[in-house]
Amino acid sequence: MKTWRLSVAVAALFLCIFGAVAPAFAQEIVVSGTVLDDRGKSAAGVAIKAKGIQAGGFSDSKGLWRVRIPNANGATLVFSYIGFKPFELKVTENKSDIVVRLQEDVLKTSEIVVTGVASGVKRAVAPNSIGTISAKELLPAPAQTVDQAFAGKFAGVTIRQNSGAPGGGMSVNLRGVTTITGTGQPLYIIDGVIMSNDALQGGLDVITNATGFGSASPQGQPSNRIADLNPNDIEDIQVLKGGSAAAVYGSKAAAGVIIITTKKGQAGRTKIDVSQQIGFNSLLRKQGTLRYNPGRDSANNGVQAAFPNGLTFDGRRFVGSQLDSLLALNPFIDYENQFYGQQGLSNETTVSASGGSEKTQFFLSGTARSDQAIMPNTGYSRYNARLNVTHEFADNIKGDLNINYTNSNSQRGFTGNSNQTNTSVPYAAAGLPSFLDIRRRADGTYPIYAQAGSNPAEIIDILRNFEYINRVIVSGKVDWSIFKTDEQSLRFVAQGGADFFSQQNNLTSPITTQHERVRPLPGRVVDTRANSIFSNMFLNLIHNYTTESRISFTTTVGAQFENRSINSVSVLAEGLVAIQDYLTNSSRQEISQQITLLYDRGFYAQEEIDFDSKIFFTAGIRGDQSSAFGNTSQLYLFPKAAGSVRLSQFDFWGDLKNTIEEFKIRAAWGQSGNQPNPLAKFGGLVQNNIIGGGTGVGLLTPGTRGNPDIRPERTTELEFGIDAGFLNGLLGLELTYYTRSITDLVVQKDLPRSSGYTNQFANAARMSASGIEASLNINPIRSNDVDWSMRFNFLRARQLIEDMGGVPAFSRGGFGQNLGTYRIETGLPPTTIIGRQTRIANNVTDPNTIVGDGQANFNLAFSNTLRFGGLSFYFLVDHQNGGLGINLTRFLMDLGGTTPDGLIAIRDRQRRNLTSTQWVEDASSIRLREASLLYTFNRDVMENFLGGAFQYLRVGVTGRNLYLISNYSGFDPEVSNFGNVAVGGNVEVTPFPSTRSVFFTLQFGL
Amino acid sequence: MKFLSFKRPLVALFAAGLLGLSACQSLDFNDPNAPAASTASVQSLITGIEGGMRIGHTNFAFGLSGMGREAYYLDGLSDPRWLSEYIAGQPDPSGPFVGPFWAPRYRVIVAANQLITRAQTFSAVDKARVEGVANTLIGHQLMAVASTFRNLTIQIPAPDDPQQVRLVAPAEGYAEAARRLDAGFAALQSAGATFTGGANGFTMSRGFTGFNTPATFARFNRALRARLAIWQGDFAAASTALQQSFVTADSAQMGLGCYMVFGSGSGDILNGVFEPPTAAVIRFWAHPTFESECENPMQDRRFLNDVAPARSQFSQGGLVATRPFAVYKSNTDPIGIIRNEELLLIRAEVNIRGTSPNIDAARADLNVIRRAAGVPEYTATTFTATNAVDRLLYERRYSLFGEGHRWIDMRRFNRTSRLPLDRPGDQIITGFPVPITDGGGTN
Repeated sequence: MKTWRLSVAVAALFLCIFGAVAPAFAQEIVVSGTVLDDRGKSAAGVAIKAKGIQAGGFSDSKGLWRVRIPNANGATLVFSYIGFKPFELKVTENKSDIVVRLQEDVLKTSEIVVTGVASGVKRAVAPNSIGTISAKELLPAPAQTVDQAFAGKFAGVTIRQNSGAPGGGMSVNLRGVTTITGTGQPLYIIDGVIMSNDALQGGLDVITNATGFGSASPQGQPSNRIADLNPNDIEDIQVLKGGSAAAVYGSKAAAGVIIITTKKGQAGRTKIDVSQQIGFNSLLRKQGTLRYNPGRDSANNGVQAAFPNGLTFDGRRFVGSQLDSLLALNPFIDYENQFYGQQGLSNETTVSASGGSEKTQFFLSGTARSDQAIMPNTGYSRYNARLNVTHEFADNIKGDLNINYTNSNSQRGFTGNSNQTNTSVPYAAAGLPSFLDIRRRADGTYPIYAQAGSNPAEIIDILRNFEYINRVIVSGKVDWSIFKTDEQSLRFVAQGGADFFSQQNNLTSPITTQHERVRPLPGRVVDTRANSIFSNMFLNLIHNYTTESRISFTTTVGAQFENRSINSVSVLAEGLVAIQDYLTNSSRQEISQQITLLYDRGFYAQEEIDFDSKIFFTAGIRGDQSSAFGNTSQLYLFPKAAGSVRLSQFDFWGDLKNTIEEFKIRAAWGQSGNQPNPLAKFGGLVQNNIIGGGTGVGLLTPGTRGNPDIRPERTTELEFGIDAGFLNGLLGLELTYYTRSITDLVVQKDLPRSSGYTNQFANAARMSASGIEASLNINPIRSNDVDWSMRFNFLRARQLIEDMGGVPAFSRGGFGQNLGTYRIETGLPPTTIIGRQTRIANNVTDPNTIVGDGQANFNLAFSNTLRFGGLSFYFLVDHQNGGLGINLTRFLMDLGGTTPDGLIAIRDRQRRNLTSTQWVEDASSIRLREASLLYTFNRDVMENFLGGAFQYLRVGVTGRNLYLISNYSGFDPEVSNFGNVAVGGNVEVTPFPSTRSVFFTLQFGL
Repeated sequence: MKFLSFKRPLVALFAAGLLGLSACQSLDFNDPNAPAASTASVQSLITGIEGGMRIGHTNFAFGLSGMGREAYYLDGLSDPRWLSEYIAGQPDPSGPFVGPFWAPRYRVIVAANQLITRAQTFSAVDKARVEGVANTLIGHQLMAVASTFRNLTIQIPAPDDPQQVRLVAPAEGYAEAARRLDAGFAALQSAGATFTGGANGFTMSRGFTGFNTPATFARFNRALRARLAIWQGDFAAASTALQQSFVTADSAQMGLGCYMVFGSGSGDILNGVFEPPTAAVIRFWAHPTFESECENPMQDRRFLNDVAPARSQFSQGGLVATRPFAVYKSNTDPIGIIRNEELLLIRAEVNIRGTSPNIDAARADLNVIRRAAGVPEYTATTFTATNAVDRLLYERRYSLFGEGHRWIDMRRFNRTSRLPLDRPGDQIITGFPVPITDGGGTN
């Protein structure tokens, strides 16, 4: 949005200069005055542009402005200012002391929203529901990663934190499930660069043995790379929620597109903004710890009842009453405090400078952030540097260059699923009764905790899981105005760039530990190095023609080219000779490499017709070719059409305008795609070597058979809605209903194993989806001293598998029917959770008992902002209603006899012998996501403080993830053992617990 | 209309540069991660097939040992299904505790079959070599499936639709395995003197030392055929096959045979059944009856070598044990595919159960084994026609400990009810259900 506004501003600026240096116009008039906002404060940086004439300027820091109009008859000046309605002023003669009062645009009708790759329209006429958010709304409280800050801000967007581990790992979902095997994550475009949001596996699951080395369905709980974007650099975000709005992005847009624009400088004095945040991270919520008592009484949680077969601890066996004496030594250790009780210090410093001359503007920023996490020896740090430069090469050629460098380091700890030796802190802890003291002894050794296979205290102290990221994102834009007249203009806009990152993961599990000593080759190091390069280019030709009757035609034709290349090499070294983090000097090494290549081309054309901001119509088409498709020469077409009518602008609306000032009906239809796995068409052999046996490299058929006919999935979306504004901005309502049909849905269809393969990607299924999203803004009080606004965002999304195309129903995600899994079956939502029920009475087993739906009934977010003078108070509450989660942490705790609700309850759950269903829980929650209490010092005070050195000064307290109310028994119902999967996410296996963050904030401008 | 000034060269250059950056890639390329089957060498495919036989063996050892109550894999905290499926006897046909007995076997079978198809264009000798080895290994893999599942398929490869998978009874699986073994044996007769040399030559791994030529590999083929024949109850066929196998009544040659080999090299597989006996935590334990029912626990090398010294009692899920499983001494120890010791047991069984029993010959063969084990030899009074079957099963139990035979033997002799049940509710699986993915039922 800012880009657009800035373009207008810069355009106006050079038009003004052009006018000034062209003395051909002998006659002119000069007008000047002040511009104020609706609270009577002077507005700085307001862009002023004369309609149809090259004249204009900006207001200065005191709101003063002056415009020379090279026309004796005067002109109509348009005053534009972000967040305010444009103001038109007709001037016919020289005049000074004109006072212009701008009206705040509470309904954001004049905000420019994206309608194409290089075009946009005023929100007032936009035919789609497009979520937009500005920097201020994005970050009321500091966020470790930007996706964390999305929650609750847009109608239709839901966020799930996959793991609480520091450094990210979030799933962002727009309007529910759109795919089963493809990416359910939106496409991120940052200043015209497609930014990788991949979550590359680091190797955690190799150390925990959750999966084997180089597994195809990893459980390494990786962080997704949008985490590298500095949230503080963001100027605004626009969310195209998929299908119709995103059609012009073609075969990668079905899950939606998130367009992020970073901050730009403005001509004028160099502004320096400083923000310092210091705070603490702490455990959001405890699961609780079972306290045992002596004796044999189950009801009293008697230790002998809990361990009827006794316990082996530190090489000694305790049975019967020996357990009582063991308990007497250490009646209760609160291991949640031990393992997740660290009050982690968090620090974020951001300094930015912006400014520039009329021809060149810059924005320069640096952020340093460090977080100690709640588990000892875990944490995150990130350093960002950014330079954005805008330069006017010539009167009609402007260029942007954006350079971003990110360095981040995280220590993510050992959590999540585990096998064999249970080398995961919460996993091992699930079987750790509160009276066994497994903590480090004074001599540096650890008690042998044979029951679980590994000692969680030792894991925290000794094991390390590092992730290092170095990332450079460079983007550029050339905007060449080929010609421009009063009626017509033709622009060529080229935008693109590259996103490169290198990721290194280094995980060490030293030889000295309990769990390594039992291994045949004790001591392991996993070192993973990945390089990822994304590059893309958009080339657009945009023609605009405006008739005298104020009908405007905008035609865009363009092409997009994109390449992606990811090369990840992982080495596992086993059998170490020392405590080491390097790979050499090990008795066995294993290598796994994964190369992903994707080359795409897209071509598009779009027409937009705007009838005097009353009626808007657009139609477009996009054609895509991709190396991910079986047939690389076929052009897959994605059409769209949309329109809106702003009823409130017509005469018949009449007096209704006093109560309903804005009323728009809109409808949009469109198609977009989702690409299959870029390697789904191949089916090369996999390695199965006999090195020890002397015959070397062996090659065997792969598990997944290639499909040479694979095509993109196609989402056809129809969206209707109304946007209305009532009572002078008191109430704003946006209501949208959408319905989707997703055809050629790719399923990883199970092949009979006797075919020699496990599965194959195939365009077999069809899914329907529909939903309602609504957002309501209420501004009950708006005065000079008091501001009160509220916002509700609502989403209800539903999906149904309509047809399986002959593929038999199959299970996906989870750990098989016995522990709860997802069922993909005609007539069921793709988020259906099934379990296996066995009843001892008649010994009837139903492996496919439907337990319920993982999809929430609805999501509702409520935010409230109250400002009283310089004091402002804000909070955001997020509610998920319904939706099930498979809580295997509880299952494991039941197994270990440690669930805090006691032995009777544990035995009851186990005795019911409904093998999976009683660990499936309602994941409903109410969460206080964000809150802030800030005080901004009065401007008059600032002018007298230190000689007016500070432009502004703000102090306060902010918080994120402050409170959680949920009946779900785990740390947090928001979790996903399998990371960012479209289906099969709601499975919890002993994750990293969620964190609460509280910050003290100091912000000032120089 | 008024044109504004512009700098054409600048823009053109910039646009051309950016176009060059991303536009010139061809959209077609080969699999960036793996070769195609048509370009891989025969050696690499043979190695892949031989190596594929090892996949899933860890489950095979833990599962069959548990089901035959030979040994317990007590790692229920890591996954309770180790106990609920193999010991409590509730195998999940959709889960990962049944799959490893089925999927890797068919994967090897299909890969071997693809190689046979490719070999049709080879020279006669090259083709016979591939057919000889591939059919032998297919036969072995089919036997493994037929002996563990209630049903199986012999369609190779099976159709994509599980509903179309034709399931047959184990007996038909055995018959198809026999046909494959016989076809392999026939091909080996015209496969020349060596596997190596020629355009498509290859060699088997060190696990086939002494069996790495067509003539000697044929003896391995016949050994498998003999095992299959006694499973089928066809003692005449077993007798014929044994004569062409490598059976020898030499008590120093118990280990003679073919093996799956393991290694720590990159892409190789380790022997996952091995557990360091000195480790603080042991997961694989001999069943207590392996010690309590051993008649010569102080002398029997089969017992003494196969378990580690007793430790303090370990228990999990109501199961207790004191003796760690110790058949393999390192994680690269080979695991037998078929050994001379088993062939002697097969010959003894033929002599006990065949149409013309010869108890003396059976006793002699068993005594070769007992001599090797260091236990007193049978006499005419301690080994008779009456107790021959009991004695045979005893010897098989101790000679083939941990190799999966006990469970199959107890089923063959209808004696599963004699296996101990350690906890109320536990049951002995009499055959895995066919995986749901392959048209199996719900249980």
